[in-house]
Amino acid sequence: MTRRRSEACLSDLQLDCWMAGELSAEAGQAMALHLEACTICRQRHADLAEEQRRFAGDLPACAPLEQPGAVGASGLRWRVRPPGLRWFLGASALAAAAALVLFVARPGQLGTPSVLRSDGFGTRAKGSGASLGWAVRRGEHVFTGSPERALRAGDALRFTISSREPVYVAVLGLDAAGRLSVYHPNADRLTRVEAGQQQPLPSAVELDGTTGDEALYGVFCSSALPLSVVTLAVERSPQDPPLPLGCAFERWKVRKEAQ
Amino acid sequence: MLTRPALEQLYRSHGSAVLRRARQLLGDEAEAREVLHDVFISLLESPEQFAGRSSPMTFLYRMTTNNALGRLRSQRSHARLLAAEYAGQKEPTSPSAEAFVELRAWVISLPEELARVAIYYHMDEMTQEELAQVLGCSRQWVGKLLQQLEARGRRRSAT
Repeated sequence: MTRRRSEACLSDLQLDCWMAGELSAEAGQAMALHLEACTICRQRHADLAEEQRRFAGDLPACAPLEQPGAVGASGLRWRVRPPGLRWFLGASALAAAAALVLFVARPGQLGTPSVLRSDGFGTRAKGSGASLGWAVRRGEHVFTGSPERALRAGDALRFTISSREPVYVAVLGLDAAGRLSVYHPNADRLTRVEAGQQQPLPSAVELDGTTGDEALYGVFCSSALPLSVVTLAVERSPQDPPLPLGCAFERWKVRKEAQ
Repeated sequence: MLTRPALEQLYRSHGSAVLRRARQLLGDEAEAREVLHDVFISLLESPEQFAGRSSPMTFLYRMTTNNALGRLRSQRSHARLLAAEYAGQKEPTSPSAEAFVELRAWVISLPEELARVAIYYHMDEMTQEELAQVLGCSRQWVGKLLQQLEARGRRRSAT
Protein backbone atom coordinates (compact mmCIF):
# COMPACT_ATOMS: atom_id res chain seq x y z
CA MET A 1 0.00 0.00 0.00
CA THR A 2 1.57 3.28 -1.03
CA ARG A 3 1.39 6.58 0.78
CA ARG A 4 0.28 9.57 -1.28
CA ARG A 5 1.66 12.29 0.93
CA SER A 6 5.27 13.31 0.52
CA GLU A 7 7.34 13.41 3.71
CA ALA A 8 7.63 17.19 3.42
CA CYS A 9 3.88 17.70 3.39
CA LEU A 10 1.62 18.20 6.39
CA SER A 11 -0.51 15.44 7.84
CA ASP A 12 -4.15 15.93 8.76
CA LEU A 13 -3.10 15.59 12.41
CA GLN A 14 -0.71 18.51 12.05
CA LEU A 15 -3.33 20.61 10.28
CA ASP A 16 -6.01 19.69 12.80
CA CYS A 17 -3.73 20.54 15.72
CA TRP A 18 -2.81 23.82 14.09
CA MET A 19 -6.41 24.82 13.46
CA ALA A 20 -7.26 23.90 17.05
CA GLY A 21 -4.48 26.17 18.34
CA GLU A 22 -2.57 23.25 19.85
CA LEU A 23 0.79 23.93 18.23
CA SER A 24 3.53 26.18 19.54
CA ALA A 25 4.08 29.50 17.80
CA GLU A 26 7.29 28.16 16.24
CA ALA A 27 5.57 25.07 14.84
CA GLY A 28 2.70 27.24 13.61
CA GLN A 29 5.09 29.55 11.80
CA ALA A 30 6.80 26.60 10.14
CA MET A 31 3.42 25.33 8.99
CA ALA A 32 2.40 28.73 7.68
CA LEU A 33 5.61 28.89 5.66
CA HIS A 34 4.98 25.43 4.24
CA LEU A 35 1.41 26.34 3.33
CA GLU A 36 2.61 29.38 1.44
CA ALA A 37 4.82 27.22 -0.73
CA CYS A 38 2.73 24.04 -1.09
CA THR A 39 -0.51 24.16 -3.06
CA ILE A 40 -1.46 20.60 -2.07
CA CYS A 41 -1.31 21.33 1.67
CA ARG A 42 -2.92 24.73 1.18
CA GLN A 43 -5.87 23.08 -0.54
CA ARG A 44 -6.09 20.40 2.14
CA HIS A 45 -6.05 23.06 4.84
CA ALA A 46 -8.80 24.98 3.06
CA ASP A 47 -10.88 21.78 2.79
CA LEU A 48 -10.49 20.96 6.48
CA ALA A 49 -11.26 24.53 7.51
CA GLU A 50 -14.39 24.53 5.36
CA GLU A 51 -15.45 21.20 6.84
CA GLN A 52 -14.92 22.61 10.34
CA ARG A 53 -17.00 25.70 9.49
CA ARG A 54 -19.83 23.55 8.16
CA PHE A 55 -19.74 21.31 11.22
CA ALA A 56 -19.81 24.24 13.63
CA GLY A 57 -22.51 25.93 11.56
CA ASP A 58 -24.77 22.90 11.86
CA LEU A 59 -24.65 22.97 15.64
CA PRO A 60 -27.11 24.90 17.74
CA ALA A 61 -25.83 27.90 19.68
CA CYS A 62 -24.32 27.22 23.08
CA ALA A 63 -27.03 26.27 25.54
CA PRO A 64 -27.48 28.76 28.37
CA LEU A 65 -26.11 27.33 31.58
CA GLU A 66 -29.41 27.67 33.40
CA GLN A 67 -30.98 25.00 31.22
CA PRO A 68 -31.78 21.79 33.09
CA GLY A 69 -28.90 19.39 33.20
CA ALA A 70 -26.27 21.97 32.45
CA VAL A 71 -23.12 22.11 34.48
CA GLY A 72 -23.53 24.32 37.49
CA ALA A 73 -27.20 23.53 37.87
CA SER A 74 -26.53 22.87 41.52
CA GLY A 75 -24.55 25.11 43.75
CA LEU A 76 -23.26 28.47 42.82
CA ARG A 77 -23.57 29.35 39.20
CA TRP A 78 -23.57 32.31 36.93
CA ARG A 79 -25.99 32.47 34.13
CA VAL A 80 -24.91 33.71 30.76
CA ARG A 81 -27.45 35.73 28.91
CA PRO A 82 -27.50 37.28 25.48
CA PRO A 83 -27.02 41.01 25.27
CA GLY A 84 -29.73 42.90 27.03
CA LEU A 85 -31.98 39.94 27.59
CA ARG A 86 -33.84 40.41 30.87
CA TRP A 87 -30.90 42.41 32.08
CA PHE A 88 -33.27 44.85 33.68
CA LEU A 89 -36.78 44.09 34.83
CA GLY A 90 -39.70 46.16 36.04
CA ALA A 91 -40.78 49.77 35.63
CA SER A 92 -37.38 51.28 36.22
CA ALA A 93 -35.68 49.10 33.65
CA LEU A 94 -35.14 51.80 31.06
CA ALA A 95 -33.67 54.31 33.49
CA ALA A 96 -31.41 51.70 35.01
CA ALA A 97 -30.30 50.60 31.57
CA ALA A 98 -29.41 54.13 30.60
CA ALA A 99 -27.48 54.55 33.83
CA LEU A 100 -25.49 51.42 33.23
CA VAL A 101 -24.70 52.29 29.64
CA LEU A 102 -23.39 55.69 30.77
CA PHE A 103 -21.50 54.08 33.58
CA VAL A 104 -19.88 51.54 31.33
CA ALA A 105 -18.93 54.15 28.80
CA ARG A 106 -17.02 56.39 31.21
CA PRO A 107 -13.32 55.63 31.23
CA GLY A 108 -11.58 55.40 34.54
CA GLN A 109 -14.61 54.40 36.56
CA LEU A 110 -15.08 50.78 35.81
CA GLY A 111 -13.69 47.93 37.75
CA THR A 112 -10.41 47.12 36.16
CA PRO A 113 -8.83 45.41 39.15
CA SER A 114 -5.87 47.30 40.44
CA VAL A 115 -4.73 45.37 43.50
CA LEU A 116 -2.31 42.51 43.05
CA ARG A 117 -2.52 40.07 45.92
CA SER A 118 0.07 37.79 47.35
CA ASP A 119 -2.21 34.75 47.61
CA GLY A 120 -2.04 34.04 43.92
CA PHE A 121 -5.19 35.85 43.01
CA GLY A 122 -4.93 39.09 41.17
CA THR A 123 -2.48 37.76 38.62
CA ARG A 124 -1.66 39.67 35.50
CA ALA A 125 0.37 37.80 32.91
CA LYS A 126 3.39 39.63 31.61
CA GLY A 127 3.12 41.23 28.23
CA SER A 128 -0.63 41.60 28.36
CA GLY A 129 -1.72 44.90 26.99
CA ALA A 130 -5.31 44.15 27.85
CA SER A 131 -7.25 44.05 31.10
CA LEU A 132 -10.58 42.85 32.39
CA GLY A 133 -13.09 44.93 34.30
CA TRP A 134 -16.68 44.58 35.36
CA ALA A 135 -19.67 46.70 36.26
CA VAL A 136 -22.20 45.52 38.82
CA ARG A 137 -25.88 46.31 38.95
CA ARG A 138 -27.47 45.63 42.33
CA GLY A 139 -31.12 46.59 42.43
CA GLU A 140 -31.22 50.21 41.32
CA HIS A 141 -27.54 50.79 41.96
CA VAL A 142 -24.67 50.42 39.57
CA PHE A 143 -21.10 50.42 40.79
CA THR A 144 -17.60 49.55 39.80
CA GLY A 145 -16.67 45.96 40.43
CA SER A 146 -13.41 45.14 42.12
CA PRO A 147 -11.85 42.10 43.79
CA GLU A 148 -12.20 43.85 47.16
CA ARG A 149 -15.95 44.33 46.86
CA ALA A 150 -18.01 41.20 47.49
CA LEU A 151 -20.81 40.31 45.12
CA ARG A 152 -24.25 39.04 46.03
CA ALA A 153 -26.77 36.61 44.62
CA GLY A 154 -28.89 38.48 42.10
CA ASP A 155 -26.15 40.95 41.16
CA ALA A 156 -25.89 41.48 37.42
CA LEU A 157 -22.45 41.87 35.93
CA ARG A 158 -21.18 43.14 32.67
CA PHE A 159 -17.55 42.58 31.77
CA THR A 160 -15.42 45.17 30.02
CA ILE A 161 -12.12 44.98 28.20
CA SER A 162 -9.45 47.65 27.98
CA SER A 163 -6.76 47.13 25.40
CA ARG A 164 -4.23 49.18 23.48
CA GLU A 165 -4.70 47.01 20.40
CA PRO A 166 -7.33 44.64 18.99
CA VAL A 167 -7.40 41.43 20.99
CA TYR A 168 -9.32 38.14 21.04
CA VAL A 169 -11.01 37.60 24.36
CA ALA A 170 -12.52 34.98 26.64
CA VAL A 171 -13.86 35.48 30.17
CA LEU A 172 -14.18 32.45 32.44
CA GLY A 173 -15.08 31.74 36.03
CA LEU A 174 -13.85 28.87 38.20
CA ASP A 175 -15.76 28.39 41.42
CA ALA A 176 -14.51 26.84 44.65
CA ALA A 177 -15.90 23.45 43.65
CA GLY A 178 -13.80 23.49 40.47
CA ARG A 179 -16.70 24.15 38.13
CA LEU A 180 -15.70 26.19 35.12
CA SER A 181 -18.15 28.57 33.47
CA VAL A 182 -17.69 30.44 30.22
CA TYR A 183 -19.05 33.98 30.42
CA HIS A 184 -17.70 35.10 27.10
CA PRO A 185 -17.81 34.34 24.22
CA ASN A 186 -21.05 32.62 23.40
CA ALA A 187 -19.27 30.99 20.46
CA ASP A 188 -16.69 28.32 19.84
CA ARG A 189 -13.80 30.72 19.27
CA LEU A 190 -12.47 33.76 21.04
CA THR A 191 -14.04 36.94 19.71
CA ARG A 192 -12.29 40.11 18.72
CA VAL A 193 -12.50 43.27 20.78
CA GLU A 194 -11.17 46.45 19.23
CA ALA A 195 -8.63 48.69 20.93
CA GLY A 196 -10.18 51.01 23.48
CA GLN A 197 -10.90 51.57 27.15
CA GLN A 198 -13.50 49.59 29.12
CA GLN A 199 -15.46 48.30 26.20
CA PRO A 200 -18.45 46.29 27.43
CA LEU A 201 -18.75 42.72 26.17
CA PRO A 202 -22.13 41.81 24.69
CA SER A 203 -22.98 39.07 27.18
CA ALA A 204 -24.16 39.78 30.71
CA VAL A 205 -24.15 37.41 33.66
CA GLU A 206 -26.35 37.22 36.70
CA LEU A 207 -25.24 35.76 40.00
CA ASP A 208 -27.28 32.94 41.28
CA GLY A 209 -27.61 31.13 44.55
CA THR A 210 -24.77 30.01 46.65
CA THR A 211 -21.89 31.82 48.23
CA GLY A 212 -18.15 31.35 47.96
CA ASP A 213 -15.04 32.46 46.15
CA GLU A 214 -14.72 32.38 42.42
CA ALA A 215 -11.69 33.03 40.23
CA LEU A 216 -12.39 35.22 37.22
CA TYR A 217 -10.15 34.86 34.20
CA GLY A 218 -9.71 37.34 31.39
CA VAL A 219 -7.85 35.66 28.53
CA PHE A 220 -6.41 37.80 25.75
CA CYS A 221 -4.97 36.28 22.59
CA SER A 222 -3.60 37.51 19.31
CA SER A 223 -5.80 35.16 17.24
CA ALA A 224 -9.28 33.64 17.36
CA LEU A 225 -8.31 30.42 19.13
CA PRO A 226 -10.92 27.76 19.78
CA LEU A 227 -12.49 28.36 23.16
CA SER A 228 -11.74 24.76 24.12
CA VAL A 229 -8.01 25.48 24.05
CA VAL A 230 -8.52 28.13 26.72
CA THR A 231 -10.96 26.14 28.87
CA LEU A 232 -8.71 23.08 28.82
CA ALA A 233 -5.69 25.17 29.79
CA VAL A 234 -7.54 26.66 32.78
CA GLU A 235 -8.79 23.25 33.83
CA ARG A 236 -5.35 21.72 33.56
CA SER A 237 -3.65 24.36 35.64
CA PRO A 238 -5.92 26.98 37.22
CA GLN A 239 -2.98 28.78 38.84
CA ASP A 240 -1.00 29.15 35.66
CA PRO A 241 -2.96 28.01 32.60
CA PRO A 242 -0.65 26.70 29.86
CA LEU A 243 -2.05 28.98 27.19
CA PRO A 244 -0.53 29.02 23.69
CA LEU A 245 2.05 31.63 22.82
CA GLY A 246 0.40 34.89 21.90
CA CYS A 247 -2.02 34.67 24.83
CA ALA A 248 -2.00 36.37 28.21
CA PHE A 249 -4.43 36.21 31.10
CA GLU A 250 -5.58 37.98 34.24
CA ARG A 251 -6.99 36.14 37.22
CA TRP A 252 -9.01 37.79 39.96
CA LYS A 253 -10.73 36.42 43.02
CA VAL A 254 -14.23 37.62 43.78
CA ARG A 255 -16.29 36.70 46.81
CA LYS A 256 -19.97 36.00 46.51
CA GLU A 257 -22.19 36.48 49.53
CA ALA A 258 -25.81 35.78 50.31
CA GLN A 259 -28.26 38.60 49.67
CA MET B 1 -10.49 16.63 33.94
CA LEU B 2 -13.01 17.79 31.35
CA THR B 3 -16.05 19.65 32.62
CA ARG B 4 -19.23 19.66 30.64
CA PRO B 5 -18.81 23.20 29.24
CA ALA B 6 -15.25 22.34 28.22
CA LEU B 7 -16.51 19.19 26.57
CA GLU B 8 -19.15 21.12 24.70
CA GLN B 9 -16.48 23.47 23.41
CA LEU B 10 -14.30 20.53 22.53
CA TYR B 11 -17.15 19.05 20.52
CA ARG B 12 -17.55 22.28 18.61
CA SER B 13 -13.88 22.77 17.87
CA HIS B 14 -12.71 19.15 17.43
CA GLY B 15 -15.89 17.27 16.48
CA SER B 16 -15.36 17.91 12.79
CA ALA B 17 -11.99 16.13 12.87
CA VAL B 18 -13.47 13.16 14.73
CA LEU B 19 -16.31 12.86 12.24
CA ARG B 20 -14.00 13.15 9.24
CA ARG B 21 -11.64 10.47 10.52
CA ALA B 22 -14.51 8.15 11.40
CA ARG B 23 -15.95 8.68 7.93
CA GLN B 24 -12.61 7.87 6.31
CA LEU B 25 -12.13 4.81 8.48
CA LEU B 26 -15.58 3.36 8.11
CA GLY B 27 -16.70 4.67 4.72
CA ASP B 28 -20.19 5.06 6.10
CA GLU B 29 -21.71 8.38 7.15
CA ALA B 30 -24.24 6.94 9.59
CA GLU B 31 -21.63 4.81 11.35
CA ALA B 32 -19.22 7.74 11.42
CA ARG B 33 -21.81 9.86 13.21
CA GLU B 34 -22.31 7.05 15.70
CA VAL B 35 -18.57 7.10 16.38
CA LEU B 36 -18.68 10.86 16.90
CA HIS B 37 -21.55 10.38 19.33
CA ASP B 38 -19.90 7.48 21.14
CA VAL B 39 -16.59 9.28 21.57
CA PHE B 40 -18.11 12.34 23.18
CA ILE B 41 -20.67 10.45 25.25
CA SER B 42 -17.83 8.33 26.56
CA LEU B 43 -15.95 11.48 27.56
CA LEU B 44 -19.06 12.92 29.15
CA GLU B 45 -19.51 9.77 31.23
CA SER B 46 -15.82 9.30 32.04
CA PRO B 47 -14.09 12.66 31.68
CA GLU B 48 -11.05 11.36 33.56
CA GLN B 49 -10.08 9.49 30.38
CA PHE B 50 -8.50 12.69 29.19
CA ALA B 51 -5.68 13.23 31.63
CA GLY B 52 -3.96 15.95 29.63
CA ARG B 53 -0.90 13.81 28.83
CA SER B 54 -1.37 14.50 25.13
CA SER B 55 -3.01 17.28 23.19
CA PRO B 56 -6.81 17.08 22.92
CA MET B 57 -6.58 16.45 19.18
CA THR B 58 -4.11 13.58 19.54
CA PHE B 59 -6.27 12.08 22.26
CA LEU B 60 -9.39 12.31 20.10
CA TYR B 61 -7.58 10.78 17.12
CA ARG B 62 -6.75 7.81 19.34
CA MET B 63 -10.31 7.47 20.67
CA THR B 64 -11.76 7.71 17.18
CA THR B 65 -9.41 5.07 15.86
CA ASN B 66 -10.18 2.65 18.68
CA ASN B 67 -13.91 3.13 18.36
CA ALA B 68 -13.92 2.83 14.57
CA LEU B 69 -11.65 -0.18 14.69
CA GLY B 70 -14.09 -1.92 16.99
CA ARG B 71 -16.83 -1.22 14.50
CA LEU B 72 -14.77 -2.42 11.58
CA ARG B 73 -14.31 -5.68 13.39
CA SER B 74 -18.01 -6.05 14.06
CA GLN B 75 -19.81 -8.64 12.04
CA ARG B 76 -21.98 -6.16 10.17
CA SER B 77 -19.13 -3.95 9.01
CA HIS B 78 -16.96 -6.96 8.30
CA ALA B 79 -19.55 -8.42 5.99
CA ARG B 80 -20.10 -5.08 4.25
CA LEU B 81 -16.39 -4.57 3.67
CA LEU B 82 -15.80 -8.06 2.38
CA ALA B 83 -18.76 -7.69 0.06
CA ALA B 84 -17.39 -4.39 -1.20
CA GLU B 85 -13.93 -5.79 -1.75
CA TYR B 86 -14.77 -9.12 -3.33
CA ALA B 87 -17.94 -8.30 -5.21
CA GLY B 88 -16.38 -5.34 -6.94
CA GLN B 89 -18.88 -3.00 -5.31
CA LYS B 90 -16.34 -0.54 -4.10
CA GLU B 91 -18.33 2.36 -2.74
CA PRO B 92 -16.33 5.31 -4.10
CA THR B 93 -14.70 5.61 -7.48
CA SER B 94 -11.53 7.63 -6.85
CA PRO B 95 -8.24 5.73 -6.48
CA SER B 96 -7.73 6.95 -2.91
CA ALA B 97 -11.22 5.86 -1.89
CA GLU B 98 -10.60 2.43 -3.41
CA ALA B 99 -7.40 2.22 -1.42
CA PHE B 100 -9.39 2.98 1.72
CA VAL B 101 -11.78 0.13 0.99
CA GLU B 102 -8.82 -2.19 0.56
CA LEU B 103 -7.19 -0.83 3.70
CA ARG B 104 -10.32 -1.38 5.80
CA ALA B 105 -10.61 -4.97 4.64
CA TRP B 106 -6.95 -5.53 5.49
CA VAL B 107 -7.13 -3.79 8.85
CA ILE B 108 -9.77 -6.11 10.24
CA SER B 109 -7.48 -9.07 9.60
CA LEU B 110 -4.62 -7.55 11.62
CA PRO B 111 -3.90 -7.83 15.35
CA GLU B 112 -5.11 -4.83 17.35
CA GLU B 113 -1.85 -2.92 17.62
CA LEU B 114 -0.86 -3.44 14.00
CA ALA B 115 -4.36 -2.47 12.89
CA ARG B 116 -3.95 0.89 14.61
CA VAL B 117 -0.52 1.35 13.05
CA ALA B 118 -1.93 0.55 9.61
CA ILE B 119 -4.61 3.17 10.06
CA TYR B 120 -2.26 5.88 11.29
CA TYR B 121 0.44 5.11 8.76
CA HIS B 122 -1.54 4.37 5.61
CA MET B 123 -4.78 6.25 6.06
CA ASP B 124 -3.65 9.24 8.13
CA GLU B 125 -0.21 9.10 6.53
CA MET B 126 1.45 10.10 9.77
CA THR B 127 5.19 10.35 10.16
CA GLN B 128 6.97 7.93 12.50
CA GLU B 129 7.28 10.72 15.04
CA GLU B 130 3.53 11.35 14.94
CA LEU B 131 2.90 7.62 15.20
CA ALA B 132 5.03 7.47 18.33
CA GLN B 133 3.09 10.42 19.75
CA VAL B 134 -0.34 8.95 19.05
CA LEU B 135 0.57 5.41 20.11
CA GLY B 136 2.45 6.63 23.18
CA CYS B 137 5.60 4.62 22.43
CA SER B 138 9.15 5.15 21.20
CA ARG B 139 10.11 5.75 17.57
CA GLN B 140 12.21 2.61 17.75
CA TRP B 141 9.14 0.59 18.63
CA VAL B 142 7.21 2.29 15.84
CA GLY B 143 9.95 1.21 13.43
CA LYS B 144 9.54 -2.40 14.54
CA LEU B 145 5.78 -2.26 14.20
CA LEU B 146 6.10 -0.83 10.70
CA GLN B 147 8.45 -3.66 9.74
CA GLN B 148 5.89 -6.19 10.97
CA LEU B 149 3.18 -4.38 9.08
CA GLU B 150 5.24 -4.35 5.90
CA ALA B 151 5.88 -8.08 6.22
CA ARG B 152 2.17 -8.78 6.63
CA GLY B 153 1.44 -6.54 3.66
CA ARG B 154 3.88 -8.49 1.52
CA ARG B 155 2.33 -11.81 2.59
CA ARG B 156 -1.13 -10.48 1.79
CA SER B 157 -0.05 -9.31 -1.66
CA ALA B 158 1.51 -12.71 -2.36
CA THR B 159 -1.73 -14.60 -1.66
